[in-house]
Amino acid sequence: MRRLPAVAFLASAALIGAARQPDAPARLFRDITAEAGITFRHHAAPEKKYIVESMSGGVAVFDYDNDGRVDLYFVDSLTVETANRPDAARSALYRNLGDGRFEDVTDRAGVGHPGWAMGVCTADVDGDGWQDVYVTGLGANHLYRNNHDGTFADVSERAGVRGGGWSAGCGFADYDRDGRLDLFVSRYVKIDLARLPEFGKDKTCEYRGIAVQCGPRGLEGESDFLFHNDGDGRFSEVAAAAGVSDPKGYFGLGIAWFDANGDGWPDLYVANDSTANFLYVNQKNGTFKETAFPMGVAVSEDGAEQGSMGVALGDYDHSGRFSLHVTNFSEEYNALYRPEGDHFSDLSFRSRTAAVSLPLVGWGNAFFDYDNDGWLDLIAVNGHVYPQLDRVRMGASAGYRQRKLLYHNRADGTFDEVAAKYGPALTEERVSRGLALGDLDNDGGLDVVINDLDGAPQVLHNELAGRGHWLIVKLRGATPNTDAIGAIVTVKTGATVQKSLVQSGSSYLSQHDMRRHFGLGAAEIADSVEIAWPDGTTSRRERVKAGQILEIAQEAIRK
Amino acid sequence: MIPLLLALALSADAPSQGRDRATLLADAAAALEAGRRTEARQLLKEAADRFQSVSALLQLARLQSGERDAAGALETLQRARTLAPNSEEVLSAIAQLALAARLPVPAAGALEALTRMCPDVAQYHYLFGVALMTAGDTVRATDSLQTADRLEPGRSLTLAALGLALNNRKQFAEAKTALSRSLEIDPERGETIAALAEAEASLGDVEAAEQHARRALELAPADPTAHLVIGMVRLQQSRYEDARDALVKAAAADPQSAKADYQLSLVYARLGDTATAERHLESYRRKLAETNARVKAMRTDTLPPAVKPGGGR
Repeated sequence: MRRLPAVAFLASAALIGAARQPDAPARLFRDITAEAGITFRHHAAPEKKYIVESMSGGVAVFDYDNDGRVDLYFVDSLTVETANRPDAARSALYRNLGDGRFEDVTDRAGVGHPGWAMGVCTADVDGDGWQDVYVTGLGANHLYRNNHDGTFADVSERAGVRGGGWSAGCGFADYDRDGRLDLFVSRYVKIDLARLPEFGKDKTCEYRGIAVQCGPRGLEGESDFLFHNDGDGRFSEVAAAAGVSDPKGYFGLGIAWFDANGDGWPDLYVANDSTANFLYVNQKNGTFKETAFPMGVAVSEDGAEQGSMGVALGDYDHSGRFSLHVTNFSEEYNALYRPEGDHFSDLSFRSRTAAVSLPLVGWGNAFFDYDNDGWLDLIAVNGHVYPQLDRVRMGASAGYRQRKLLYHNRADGTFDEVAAKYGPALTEERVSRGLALGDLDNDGGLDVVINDLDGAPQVLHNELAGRGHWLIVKLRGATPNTDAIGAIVTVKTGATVQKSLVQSGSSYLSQHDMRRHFGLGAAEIADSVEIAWPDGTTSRRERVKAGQILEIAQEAIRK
Repeated sequence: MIPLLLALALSADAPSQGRDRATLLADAAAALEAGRRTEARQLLKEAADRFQSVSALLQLARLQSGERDAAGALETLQRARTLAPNSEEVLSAIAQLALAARLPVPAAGALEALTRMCPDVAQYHYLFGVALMTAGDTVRATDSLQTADRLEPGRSLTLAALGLALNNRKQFAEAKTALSRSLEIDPERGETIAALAEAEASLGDVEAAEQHARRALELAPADPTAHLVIGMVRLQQSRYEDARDALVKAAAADPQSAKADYQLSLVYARLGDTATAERHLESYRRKLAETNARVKAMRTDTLPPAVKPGGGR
């Protein structure tokens, strides 16, 4: 991000040092939203009388113009009052100008009005080397094909991925390993805007005695979609045949594709609100088997169904496998599931990540190494769904607006929650939803972008002093999966082995920068960088210097 | 036998018309004293019907309760409550009877009224907390038990119940504190020791958890929580056969527990016995649905809005 002149910085630091108490918060993130020119505002009805007004929206960090700088896309939503005026909501695409500022290019790009939008995921769907954008929402989803000239064309109808109903999470992956990217879309609740459940009226429309919006319990859930990429720009909806349709209509939100059982094939995790979560294990024949219960990732440690929202993946303990972090509703801890053999164990409390999450309603989340020490830290953003809570603040329960959680990895399987150490960028109480990561200024520090339900988003620039060395790996996969979605990057430095997965869609309805970031600590050179491409082939580089964005193309060095 | 039947018949036919309320109650007491329970019941019913006597209804309920007719007794007391909605005696009787009969929903309804009528009586807050916890509303249970602890600090039972509620809410560190305080006062209560073991196991202190679970089992060999803790510790240690054995005991000791079934589904899955794992999963789902239905009943039917627990989620 744009740097202040050194002299000015030192002068101001001295002044601040003179004025503040010795325990002033250390600087980690600085909220640069306004100075970066981000004027996007998420629209939401003030009272959130209907569940459909509480669940948006996602955010994407991706490079739409292939200029090497990641851009931002914020999803906006309508309200019941504005439901018939699509222009009342304006999602926004911001181009990264590279000098710390962003330019609103929404209108030119033609991605401003996807309707009542919820989430976003990106991928080079047609294999042309440019990232396309998929936006989920109420009524219809939109696939915006990148025209390579700063504009997009809505090809959802032709591609057959419009969906319908209330779509939420999305993510692309090549589940059948035919080289083409397929698309999973989770859906939430069946909603008829003409017959909405009346606020506070029904049995399920009270929260601790307060009249609130109804649902999701008590409302009918939606099934999910799996769109198979047929290779001609069209997709076929195959969820039922593949065994991932969710015929019981659980309340689907966040999703993540990853290899859960280590067999090299993409499996799928779906976070369901107020119902058990799904883990679909790929049967390598175009079908999946739902195994969340036997694998220990369906419910809480003591068997309680949780209101799950966001999903994050990370090899936080250098085990070589990806653990799952799932954000949940208040009074339900955020869950950390660690893979152990053929199943997962719930280490939420033992990792010291759970207790502090209990009063909060969690949404976007991600593992990331904010201090570049080589160990993945963890962030989760929060905010309730009932604004009415603030009128009847109850005991120690958090209110409508809530702070963020930032966990520092202690490198021993446990975390310290350290948000308070870093001041208001993290402790300010907000109503956050989507969260996405990316290195906005390519300085080796991971930045965080958050879409809030009520009003302005947050762009948090990582300004931690004394970060470790770093390496960013940008993959160029074989056509048509040019993003190399599903590839695993392994970086070795001494005895430390880190793994990271290229993903489309995760967190809460959001998209991270697909470039893989690694903190290297004190190491100035990574001993090796190895890529396991989605088709099973591998590439390897040795003695890679830190402090660079390393590009590796699959075709060029395929073994 | 014949004299008895005759006596009953005579008793049933005996004209009580004309007796006033006090006489009816006195006669009922005398009948009860003499072991003529049928006659006593009839006299009390008559007093209740003719004079709308709350006292008669209370005595009748006591009689029914003594005869293990909890449902009948509760119905009688609900009738008394209709006549005297603010009677502490009636509400207290409903609460005690419902709790003894493991009917937390009506108990909570009565106790909620009692805590409002008598906000400084710690016992009512304690019992309200216990009722709510039994019904599955651990959020309100915690609030109520904390109030009880504030009103009457250092009461072992309140602290133990608070620890159990906090365990259910996954606030294990706070639960550990409450349970340890309870055990300082009453160190030999097996249920409390088992709950402490549960908190410790969840916090990752496996050694202390196992030690306390074993101690709890010495005091109460069938304690379901202690068996559950041993099972979960063994599961963490990948000692699946031992985990299974402990969890089977936990399930047997508390057949209503969905927790034990869920853990058994995991352990059988680890052992490769998918059929048994599936069976426990189904049992877990059924029990979970029963708990949800109970909480829904609490939310919708019995309690006034001020005490209705979590809604749409």
